[in-house]
Amino acid sequence: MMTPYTFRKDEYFKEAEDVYAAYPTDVSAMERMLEKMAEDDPKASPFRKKTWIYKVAAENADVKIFPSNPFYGEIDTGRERNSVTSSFPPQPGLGCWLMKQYPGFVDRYGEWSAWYGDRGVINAPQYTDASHHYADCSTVLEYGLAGIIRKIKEREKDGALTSHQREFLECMADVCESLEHISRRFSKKAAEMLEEEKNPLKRGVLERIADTAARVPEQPARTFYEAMCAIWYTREMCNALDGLGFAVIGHLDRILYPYYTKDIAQGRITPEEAQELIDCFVSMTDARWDLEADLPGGTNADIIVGGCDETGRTVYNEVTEMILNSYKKYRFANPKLQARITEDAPAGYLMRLGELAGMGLNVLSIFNDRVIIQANRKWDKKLEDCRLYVAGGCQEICVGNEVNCRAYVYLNLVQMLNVSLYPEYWNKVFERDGVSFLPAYKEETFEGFYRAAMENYQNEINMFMDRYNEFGMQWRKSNPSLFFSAVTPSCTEKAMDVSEGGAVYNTDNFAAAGTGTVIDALYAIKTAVYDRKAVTMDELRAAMQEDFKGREPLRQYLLHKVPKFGRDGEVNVFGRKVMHDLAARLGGKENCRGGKYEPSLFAFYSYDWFKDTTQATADGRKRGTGLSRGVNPSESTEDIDIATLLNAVKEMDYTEFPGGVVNYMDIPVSYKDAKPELFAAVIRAFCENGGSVMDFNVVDKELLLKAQKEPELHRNIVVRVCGYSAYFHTLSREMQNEVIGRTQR
Amino acid sequence: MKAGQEKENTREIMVSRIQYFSLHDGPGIRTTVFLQGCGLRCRWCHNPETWDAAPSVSYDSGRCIGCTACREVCPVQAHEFTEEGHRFLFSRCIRCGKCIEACPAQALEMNGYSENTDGLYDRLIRDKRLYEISGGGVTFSGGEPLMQAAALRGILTRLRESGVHTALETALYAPWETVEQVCGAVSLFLADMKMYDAQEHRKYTGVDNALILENLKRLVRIRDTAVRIPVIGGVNDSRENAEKTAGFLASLKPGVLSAELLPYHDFGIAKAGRIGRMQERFAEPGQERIAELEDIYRSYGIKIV
Repeated sequence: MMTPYTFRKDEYFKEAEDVYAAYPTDVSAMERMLEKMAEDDPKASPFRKKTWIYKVAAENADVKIFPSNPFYGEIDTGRERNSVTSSFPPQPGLGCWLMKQYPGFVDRYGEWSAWYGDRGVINAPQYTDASHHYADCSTVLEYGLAGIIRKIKEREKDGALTSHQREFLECMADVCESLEHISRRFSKKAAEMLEEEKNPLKRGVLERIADTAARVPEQPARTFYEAMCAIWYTREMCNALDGLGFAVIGHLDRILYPYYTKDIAQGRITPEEAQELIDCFVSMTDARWDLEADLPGGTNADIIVGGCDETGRTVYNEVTEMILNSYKKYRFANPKLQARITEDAPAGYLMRLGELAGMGLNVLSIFNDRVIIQANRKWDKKLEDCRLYVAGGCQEICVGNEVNCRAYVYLNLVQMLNVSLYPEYWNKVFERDGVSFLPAYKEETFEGFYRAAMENYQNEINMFMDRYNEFGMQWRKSNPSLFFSAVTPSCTEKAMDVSEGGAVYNTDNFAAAGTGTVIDALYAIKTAVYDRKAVTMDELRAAMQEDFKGREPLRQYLLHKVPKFGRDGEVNVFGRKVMHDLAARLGGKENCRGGKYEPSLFAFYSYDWFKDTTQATADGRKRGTGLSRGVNPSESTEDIDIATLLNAVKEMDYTEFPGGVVNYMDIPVSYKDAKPELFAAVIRAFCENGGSVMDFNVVDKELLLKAQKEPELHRNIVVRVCGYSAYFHTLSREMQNEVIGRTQR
Repeated sequence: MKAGQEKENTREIMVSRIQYFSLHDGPGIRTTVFLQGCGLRCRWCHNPETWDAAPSVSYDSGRCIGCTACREVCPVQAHEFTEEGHRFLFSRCIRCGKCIEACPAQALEMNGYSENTDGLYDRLIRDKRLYEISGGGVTFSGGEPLMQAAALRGILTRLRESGVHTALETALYAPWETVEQVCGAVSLFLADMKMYDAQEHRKYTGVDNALILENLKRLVRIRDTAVRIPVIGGVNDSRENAEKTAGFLASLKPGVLSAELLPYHDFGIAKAGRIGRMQERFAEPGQERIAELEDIYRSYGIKIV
C-alpha cells in the first residue's frame, strides 16, 4: 500500500522554481552527439534521425523529479521554461534539432510569410501547426508502450510494406523503446533520491515514483494514479522530444473516471486522496511557467471536462467535480478549462461552472457539443469520433482520430476585402504568387460588387492553400513525429507518419479574423454607397485611404447611421450569408496530407495584431483600432449587451464551422457579487441558441483601473486576452487598456 | 399630468430607454424599461432625463464633431456655433427632430419616444428564454411608471400571461387606485423610500411622503415588495433616518421582502446636462457608512440584499 498523497502547493512550487529557474540549460554536448551521428550516417532517413533525438535524450538527458509531486515526465532537453515547444521557427532544445538542419527552409518560408505578414494580409509565423496538438493518451493507457510496440511489430510482418513504411514502423518502435527507457530512469532516479530523503511525505512520493515508473507507461495503467502518470508522461514526452507543441492535456473526467471508480470499489483510494492528486495534476502548468513574464499566447495548455463519451452519454462525475474544486480552491490561471456542454448537461454542472466564472478566474471556455459535433459530422467524420473532440491551445477543435493543423495561419478577412477596393495596389503585392483581383468597386450594383468580392476571396484563399500545401510537405522531411504517430492508432495501420497523413482525419484550418468588421464594412458599402447613395464609391475609397482625414462627418455617418452586425436584425441576416459564403471558401480544398481544409471563425487575438496594418474600413473604423474579436460585433458598435449578443447567435448557423466559432462575453459585473446562476443561465442560453464556443471575461472596470495604478497591490487578477488568460499586471499597457476598453460598453 | 390621469386603454407608452441584460433591478436576468415622467424631483436623481412626460432633445457635447449639420436644418436657430463650440439652446427647441436626423455623430438624440405596447412587448419577449433559465423577467422603472398606469397595466398583463415575471420599480407617489390598477399584473414591487422625515422629504424631492408611506403599508399586504433606498451623503445617510425608516419597515405587516441600500453616484449630473438642466453634486456615502446603516436595518429584522 502506498503512502496517501497530500498536495502541498507551496513546497512543490518551490521545488519547481528551483529546477525551472535554471532553464534553458546547456545541452550542447547532446547536440554534438546528434551532429556526430548525422556525420556518420548522412543518408539516414528523417525517421531514423528523429530516433536519434530520443536515443540521445534517453541515455543522457537529466530526468527531474519533484519530491512533492508524484507525477513524472520532466526531462531536461534544453527547452525553455516558458515554451510551447513549437518546432517552427525552431526553438532551443533537442526536440527541434532536426528542424534546425533546414535553415534554408526556415529563411525561405520566413521571407514569404513576412511579405504578406508585413502587409497585414496574414499572420503566419509557422508553415504548419507546430503548437496545438493532442497526443491521444488513451492509446498509452490501454496498451502501454510495450503493447504499442507489439502492434507495430505485428504490422511489420506485412510483406506488402514499402521500405519507407518499414523504416517508419521500425523507427516508431525504436522511439517507444527509448521512452520505456526514460520511464525506467525516473524509477531509478526516485530510488536514488530515497537514499537521502528523510521527510516522510517526500519519501512517500519517491516510493510511488520508484515503484510506478518502472512499469508505467510501459504497461497499461491499472489505477487512477497510474492513469494520471501515463497521461502526463505522454504529453510531456511529446512536448520535450517530438518537436511539436501538445496543447491538450486531455479529456480528463471522461478518461479517468473508470480508473477512479475501480480504485474506490477496491478500496485502493479515498475521494480525499484522489482530490489531492487532481490538485497536483492541475497545478503543474502554473508551476512550470514563469507567469510573471508577459506571455504572448499564454501557456497553451488545457484540460477538457464534461461533454459526452463516444456513446453520447453525458460526462459529469466525481472527477469533473474534483477538477472544478481544484480551480476553485487554488485559483489556478492555467491550464485553461475547456468545458463541454451537452444538451442534457446537469444543472449542478452548469452551476459549478458558473461559480468558477463568477470568481473572475477567466480560465473557462464553453464548448457547445450539439453544434460542434454536428458541424464535424457534416465533414463525414464518424459520430463516435466527433463525440470525442478536444480543444486547445485556445479554442481549436480536434475530434477523435484527427490530426488537425490549426491556428498557424491567421487570415485578415478585412485586409482581404481591400483587394476588392484597391486591386491596383494589391495586384502588385500578390503578383509573386500569380494572383490578380477583379475591380469589384467598379460594379454598378451591390450584388455585382459582392459577387466580385467573394470571387476575390476565393482566389486569395486558394492561393494561400496551394502555397501551404507546398510548405506543408516540409513537415515530413524535417520533423516526422514518431511518438505522436505511435499514439495515433491509424498511423500503425496505414504505416504512415502523422506528417504524411497517417491519422484518419487530416485536417487544416485557417483561422479567420475580423468577421464582424467585414460584415459591417460590406453592409456599410451596401447601405451608404449603393442603397442610399450617401457617398460615392470613389469618395469612400479615398476617405478610407486618408484614414477619414477631413471626412469625420462621413466617418460618423458610417459608424452611427448604418445598421450594425450583432445589434440590428437586418445585418444579422446579411451576416449569416457572409459567413456562409466565407465558409464555402475556407473549406473543402484538399491539403497536403490527404485531408481537407475546413472552415473556422477562430481568431485568437489577431484582431489586435492586425490593427495597425489594416487601413480604415468602410464601417468607420480607423487604422490603429482593433478588428472585431472572434465573431463578435465590431468594437465600435454601441448598445451591445449579452442578451443582444445571445439573440444574434440564434440567427447564425455555426454548424458550418467544424473548426469552431468563438464568441467573447465580457460580463460587466464586479466578481465579488457575481452569482453562479447568472453565468449558468448565460451558458445554457448560449448553447440553446446554437453558439459554438464562448469565452467569459468577468471584468470589473473599477478594479482594473485600480490595478493599473497600483499593480503591486493587484497581482492576482486574471483576465482573458482572447483565447488565453493572463495576469492583468503582466500585460503591456496597451493590452491593459484594450481590456479595460471592453468594459466600457 | 399627474399619475393615474391619462386616458384609459391607451396602447401608447412613453419610453425613455430599454436596458437588456439588466442584473440589478430584481431577480435573475431582466430587461428594464425606463419610462418617461415622474412626479418627484429628487435633487440627486440619477435618471433626470425621465422627469418630463414629453420627449425632448438631448445633446451630448462629448460626441459633437462640430460639423454644423444641425444648424443647417434647424427651423428655430436652436443650434449656435461660436469659438467655444456648439451651444444648444434647449429653450428654443420645438422638438421637430430634424437635427437628430442630420447629426451623424449621435450627439443629438430624442430623449423619450412613444411606442406602441405591442411593439414594446415584442422587444421584451425576445429574451423570454433567458428570463426563464435565470429566474429573471421584465422590470419597469423610470421615471415613475405609475404615471402611465393604464398602458402599463396592459403590457404587464400581457407579459404575465406569457409567463414572464414582472417587477415594478416605483416611488409609490400616486393615488392608491392607481397602484391597485396595475397591482394584479406585478409579480414584485421594488418600492423606493427616500427618507422618513416628511419635511426633509419635501425639501429634497419636492413632495410629501405621507401618501408614499400609506401606499407602502397597503401594498405589502397584497404584494411581494422589496424596498430600495438611495443613500445620499449628507442628506439621508444619518443613523437617525435609518433607525426611523427601519422602524417603519419593521412595523409593516406582513413586512417587506428585503431592503437594498443604493449608494449615491453622480451619473445624474452629466445626464441632466445633456437635457439642459443643472444638477448639484452630493457626497458619496462611502462603503463603511453603508455597512453601518445596513447593520441598523438588520437589527430591526430587515433582510438586506
